[in-house]
Amino acid sequence: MIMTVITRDGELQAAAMGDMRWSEVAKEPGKFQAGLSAEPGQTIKVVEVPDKFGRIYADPLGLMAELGAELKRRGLL
Amino acid sequence: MKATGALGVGAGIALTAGTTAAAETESDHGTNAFDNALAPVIANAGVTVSWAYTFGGADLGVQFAGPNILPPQNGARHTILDQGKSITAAGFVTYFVRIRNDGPGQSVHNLEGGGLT
Repeated sequence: MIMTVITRDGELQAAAMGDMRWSEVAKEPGKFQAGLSAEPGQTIKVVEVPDKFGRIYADPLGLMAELGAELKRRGLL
Repeated sequence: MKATGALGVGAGIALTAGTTAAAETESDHGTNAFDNALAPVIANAGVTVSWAYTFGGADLGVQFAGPNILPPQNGARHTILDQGKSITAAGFVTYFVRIRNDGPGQSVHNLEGGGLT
């Protein structure tokens, strides 16, 4: 599954389901749209992760740490 | 000016089960309101999340957005840092808001807000 992750200095800071990058979603006239922009020093990436991270909203404490470890392992942080 | 628009989901924005992004809004240069909008973001304590949003590029006057804090809430506190608005030469209007998770731990939020005029 696809997630959007926000990182800073090699650490995972925030995550959301799907592609939430502002420049990618703001394409359709007449529709309410929103997305995430990077703060100074932040990086926004869209990554493909195992489906188990779909439970991240129900278990943020556990799965954020696990997501961060997964991204580090894959060299994405 | 009075217009009725549908609050829809843009391309690439996913929703979790149980959240609702579709709603009818009535706009009178900005009296539209939205709640529980769009895919939630989970952020660590101390992290600022920067959002941009648009109503199809329309200028709806002064808009205000803030965090709709979702479960698990656990005393979560968010601070709204800045509200902003930009307009291109072609007249496409984008609104901005920065939201900081002030802890005590990780927290989940999406957007709620509406017009002030």
